[in-house]
Amino acid sequence: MYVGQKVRRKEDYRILTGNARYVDDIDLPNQLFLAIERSEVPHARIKRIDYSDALKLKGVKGVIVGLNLPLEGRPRNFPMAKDEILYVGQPIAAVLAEDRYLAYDALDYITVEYEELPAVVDPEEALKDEVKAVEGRSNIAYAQTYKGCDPEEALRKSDRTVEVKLEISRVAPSAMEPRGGIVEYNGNRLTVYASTQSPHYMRSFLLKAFGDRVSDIRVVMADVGGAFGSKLFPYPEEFIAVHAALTYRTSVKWANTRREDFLSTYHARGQTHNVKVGFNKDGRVNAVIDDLIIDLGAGWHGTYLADIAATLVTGPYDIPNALVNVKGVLTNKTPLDQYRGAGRPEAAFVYERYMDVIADELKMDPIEVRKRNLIRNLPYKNPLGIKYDSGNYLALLEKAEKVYRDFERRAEELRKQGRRVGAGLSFYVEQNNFGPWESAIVRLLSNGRVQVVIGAAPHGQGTATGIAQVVADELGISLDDVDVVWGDTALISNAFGTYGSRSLTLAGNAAILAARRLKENIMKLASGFMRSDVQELMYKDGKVINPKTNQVMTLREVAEKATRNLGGVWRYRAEPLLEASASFGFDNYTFPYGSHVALIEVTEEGKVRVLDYYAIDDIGVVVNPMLAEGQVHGGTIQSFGEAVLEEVIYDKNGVPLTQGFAEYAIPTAVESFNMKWEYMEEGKSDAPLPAKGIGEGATIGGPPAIIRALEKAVGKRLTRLPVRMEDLA
Amino acid sequence: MYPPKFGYVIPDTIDEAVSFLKEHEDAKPLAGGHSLIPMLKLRIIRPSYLVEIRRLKELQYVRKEGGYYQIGALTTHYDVVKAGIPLLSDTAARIADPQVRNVGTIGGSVAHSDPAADYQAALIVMDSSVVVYGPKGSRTVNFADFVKDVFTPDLKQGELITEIKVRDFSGYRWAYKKLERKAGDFAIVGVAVLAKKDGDKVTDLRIGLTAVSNKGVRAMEAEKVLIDRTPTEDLIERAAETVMKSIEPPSDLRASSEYRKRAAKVLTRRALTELLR
Repeated sequence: MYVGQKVRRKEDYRILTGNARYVDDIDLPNQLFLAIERSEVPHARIKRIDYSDALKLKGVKGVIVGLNLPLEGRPRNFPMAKDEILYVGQPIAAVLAEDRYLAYDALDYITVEYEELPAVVDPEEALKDEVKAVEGRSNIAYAQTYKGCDPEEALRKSDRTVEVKLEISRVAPSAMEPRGGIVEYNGNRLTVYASTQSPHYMRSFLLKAFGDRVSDIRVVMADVGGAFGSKLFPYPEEFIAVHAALTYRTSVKWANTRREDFLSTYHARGQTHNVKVGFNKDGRVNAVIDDLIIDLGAGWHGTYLADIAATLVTGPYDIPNALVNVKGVLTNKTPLDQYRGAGRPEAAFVYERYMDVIADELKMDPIEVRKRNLIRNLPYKNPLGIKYDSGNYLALLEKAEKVYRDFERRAEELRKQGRRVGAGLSFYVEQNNFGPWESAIVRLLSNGRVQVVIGAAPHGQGTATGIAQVVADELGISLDDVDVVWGDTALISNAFGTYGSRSLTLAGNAAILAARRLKENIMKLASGFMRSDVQELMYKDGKVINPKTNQVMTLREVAEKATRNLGGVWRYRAEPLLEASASFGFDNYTFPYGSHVALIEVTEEGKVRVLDYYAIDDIGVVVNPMLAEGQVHGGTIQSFGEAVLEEVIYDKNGVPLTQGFAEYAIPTAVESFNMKWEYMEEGKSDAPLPAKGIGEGATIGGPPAIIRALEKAVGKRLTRLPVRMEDLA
Repeated sequence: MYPPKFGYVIPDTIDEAVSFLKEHEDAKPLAGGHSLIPMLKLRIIRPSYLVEIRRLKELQYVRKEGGYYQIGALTTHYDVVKAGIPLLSDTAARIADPQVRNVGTIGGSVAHSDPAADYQAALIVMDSSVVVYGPKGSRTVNFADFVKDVFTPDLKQGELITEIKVRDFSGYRWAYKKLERKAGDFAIVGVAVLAKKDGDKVTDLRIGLTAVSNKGVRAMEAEKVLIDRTPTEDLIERAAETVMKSIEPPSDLRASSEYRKRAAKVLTRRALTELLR
């Protein structure tokens, strides 16, 4: 069995030897480079764009202005500002030139005349709707109420209530590779090489926009240097590049610079929660009422992030009454969308903060408060209609508690030495495996090797290794005989991609089902080859066996026999079908859960150092503990960044101040720390592969544990992500 | 982040570099390039030519002579670290990250005059001077006068820094304390301290700060609190408090002015305690 083993990644050779191929490593004959003129002001009315001087430069082939295409959740001025500039970094014009230096030089020769408009920057100001941020429409782009039972009444009847305002700043996903792409022009067919998490979804949205001008768009995923959610949904540049290729009948490349990436790649988080909680003297929580504002920026495609956060506001706790009023507001900022965790870190920050606040208010132990509220029986339907599936929350909490008690004791000892040290614990429940489904094809190749095509689009997670483990087990063959490929709309017809901690579970189950079908096909073929009735045959360890005759055929023998004799005739009854496809979807999400525990020191001047760290997860079956642990490590360091370093900052006029890594601080190896990870396998799903997904868990569990440890270290209530050093000094 | 078009000149000698720079008003000398290249790529500057002085061997040296260290302008931060110069080497070790230290030069940093550069805190207390060479020959300027304002060195078109001179503070104890958000970041505050004691008594004390003003500042008032006295916890606290009161740091996205003041106090107290107690 490979499942459950720490198998080394199959993906690494190319990457470690510098042979990975990212979009900007790809060059096509006759390609032109596209550079984008971006807005330097947050809000303005465009009066005139003069690009005649740019066109005079030798090597400049064209300038595009005023391109507007309808796309769900985006303003009219998309993918370019035609009459109204909506945020700093928004595309206004694009230059096509023979090389990128020329293209960027030409941007200097474009003059945009505009009349500045007042910018809407603060989401709470936006809510007043006095000054409009986007095209004169109401700033309140989204309003939704989630209500379960009678929260107002339950709050009134509670022994105690507490109100707290929690702020989660905007962050920049900061993938190592900035976004980019190449459009290969082949008449009425295009091939797009993309840095994406979903080639199939990219194909769909490009065809929707350009279907009347092309017959097909094949999308090929290049190696992707990190995405974290930010490369899932469509961006203006992709539409501009395709439009440019079609208009100028040539291949087109674009590649963001780091500054452009900071200005244009969708920001994330950006939520404010005003939470009222009603609870009894014994720590039992009766009701939660949350006013949630999400700062959408200049688009309204990120509203679902508020929905996810809202419907998980009671977390892993049995709180019968809840009300969340969601308001999504437009501001003159880069649009908001998903980033590792996507709504669930926001929810966890809220429910874990109020658990700690209640503990402090009641002078109770924070673990005890959690235990008194923890969901004991699963499945469980929370008051806002979300159905948690399986597991044993208490057992996991008790394991984490042991570590927490140890950290607490160590913190106490260090505090006696005059140091500022604190321990914090978080418990979270995650909703993942965002669907609806995923596809896979399993193929037996003529040399006996097995190729698996998956519709998921992994980009660093190691999913291909996990899928290979699953398929090797299902077919009873060596892991070395399985290759996993993905990332091309020409490889597999319909698929979704990699997001929402779904790939190994959904594509893995699809691959298992496909492998089962392949086995059936192989058996039919083998029955012809072995002159046996198919019912007499059995499949074991990569071989078809006839127990009566002791005849055996390996997969390789079947493959070779089926594929030889070029030019001959096919004499067998069974169809020579050496592949099978399958798809898999759940009728509910999966709900892994876990706990993070942190021991943190804060210096007198507010510098944060993690002394020790522990995480535990129950994600059902763990296919590859090494890969899972890697996800937890990376996610935990990312949560450290989110908790104490990372923040997209706009000045009061709407100008972003964080335009590069000099300003936007992300953690380095020096800020990294030791951590220990453990797992339980109680909360399984009922799928053939009962795994649940670990890609995002650490970004959900991390911040609340870190904030609690900091709070204990400095002795004051903390309500904001990130915590600034000066708040700790 | 693609630079506009520029010419690239590789002179063989300093004189060749100087005469070219003199003739071409918008030309810029390229040393380690760790400030110049980013500005170029962001199109903040648009030089006509870059004049590569980086490989001029005659400006890469560290010598000790007559109680002073003479440091060639093109000495990298890493070579400064290795030279074992009291205070300055430890300061250089805290600059940015290994990549920057391996390529960035002390002359380049001084010429750039970034108000948050680590060197500013040390050089302001080391009786340092800057040797400038230009069409009219050589002149030596006190470091304190050389940096006139934010990004404003006392350099005319055609002039190059050829050497930084610092006093040899052997016999002193020293420390450079830097507060940064994360490894490799600019200082929120940097405090450099040189201290000499005779028995229990402090005979000399120098406190320099970076990132708290338009250029490196020396906290003379705070130094006086301890000079000729036996350091006690109270006196150290008073000196640190005096540092805090003597500065009016800027506010920016890294830190507020108020926080910089508090941090300067903590760092000063920590350095003084380490060196004097």
